[in-house]
Amino acid sequence: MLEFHDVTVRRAGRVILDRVSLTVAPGEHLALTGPSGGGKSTLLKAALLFEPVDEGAILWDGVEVTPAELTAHRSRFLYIGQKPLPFDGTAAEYLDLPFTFAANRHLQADRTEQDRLMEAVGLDQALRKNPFIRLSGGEQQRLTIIQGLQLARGFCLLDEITSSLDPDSMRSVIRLFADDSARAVLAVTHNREWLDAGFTEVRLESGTLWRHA
Amino acid sequence: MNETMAITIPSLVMFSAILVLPVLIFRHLGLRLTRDLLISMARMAVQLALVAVYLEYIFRLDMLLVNVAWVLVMIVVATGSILRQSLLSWRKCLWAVLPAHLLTSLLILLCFLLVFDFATITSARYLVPLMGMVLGNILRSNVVALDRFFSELRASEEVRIQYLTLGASGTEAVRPFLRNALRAAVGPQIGTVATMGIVSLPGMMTGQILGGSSPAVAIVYQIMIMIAIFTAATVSSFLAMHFARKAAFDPFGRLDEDIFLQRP
Repeated sequence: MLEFHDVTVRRAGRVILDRVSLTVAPGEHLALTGPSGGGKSTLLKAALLFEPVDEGAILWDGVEVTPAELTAHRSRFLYIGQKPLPFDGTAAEYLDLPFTFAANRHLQADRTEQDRLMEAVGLDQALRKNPFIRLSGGEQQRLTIIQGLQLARGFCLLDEITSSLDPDSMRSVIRLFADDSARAVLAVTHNREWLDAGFTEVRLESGTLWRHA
Repeated sequence: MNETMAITIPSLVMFSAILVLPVLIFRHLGLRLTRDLLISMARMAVQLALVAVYLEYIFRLDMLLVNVAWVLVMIVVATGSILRQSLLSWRKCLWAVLPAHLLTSLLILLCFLLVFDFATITSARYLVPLMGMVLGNILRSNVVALDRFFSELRASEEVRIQYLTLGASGTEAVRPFLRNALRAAVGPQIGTVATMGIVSLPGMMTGQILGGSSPAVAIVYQIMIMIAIFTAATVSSFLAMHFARKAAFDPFGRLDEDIFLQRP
């Protein structure tokens, strides 16, 4: 369980987050909305201790997370951003990338699971052999989402991951997360379709958080 | 061996009159480049004249210590030029990038010992031009590498965060950025090497032939220097990014904005 406890973040004299308190329970699906510059991305990064908080604390299962347990804490999450980095290799190699990290050496990429995820977001299996940089932006982004979902992470932090997708792909991606009751999801978005898919709205405006019942 | 025919200063001045052509073309097109062109040409002439004076002196002296000191000066100046062009802060990055170039130069020097004996390679006549060519030709790739590396790290921080959450170590999380930067830095050079001799007659070879060497001797030097330059470009770009990376992140893994030159 992730908890923001009275979190205040200031940068260059500006208050980015103003005493924000929020608890995200296991399996809970929240859509974080609000105007640009309202502190949404900062909140996600604060959860990962990527933005040190000036006041308040980030708690995991009721215990404050300290910088000493940075690595262990971060690997509880899956963080995905808006656009991937150019990758020198095929789509298949891109999907296998997380398994080349020393911490994941004991794990193996599961082809069946990759195929299932690709199909779920409307990607053709034939793409696997294509050079990653030849794919469209939307295809690259969906592969990036799948790349992360292969690992067992109970908590997803998503920063506007559907902003570059066409309407069909977008819905398939939202559906993928909405149907996943095993994972908690905190998704930053400007898109109402996340709410239609059953996500609960949490609104962040000028650093202040409003939770809709 | 016959000496190259010396060009007299008056004939060089006369020759420089052909700069009228670019100036006329600039005027015709309304390009305001004339001032920049004349300043650049004048700068070049003054710098080269000064270097000629230094080199005359160093060549006549030809002391191991002085030769090595001169190479060290070249390395420091090259590092400074790289940092300035890739818009990185001297204060933060000099101690990261300078060792990369010292190590690379040492490596190349050791490799030269495979083809020259110690007394030859450390003599001013060989050491200064050979190391000068290597250092001069790796500037571009270093600038491209560092610039691409840090601008991508800055623009795609979220990708690095994603890999960190997927279990990557700090080194593993920047690896994709390093790969992209190194490809951009030295990839195009592989193509240049392949067209050498057909599209371009390389400078060192031209110089040696004018200096009276036979083309057979000149090409061996040229091939050797191309190998040295490519190796040095790759090793120095890689080491520079590797060392600069260590200086670039705070304990939370965030990019330290102080490593960039503050743009006006």
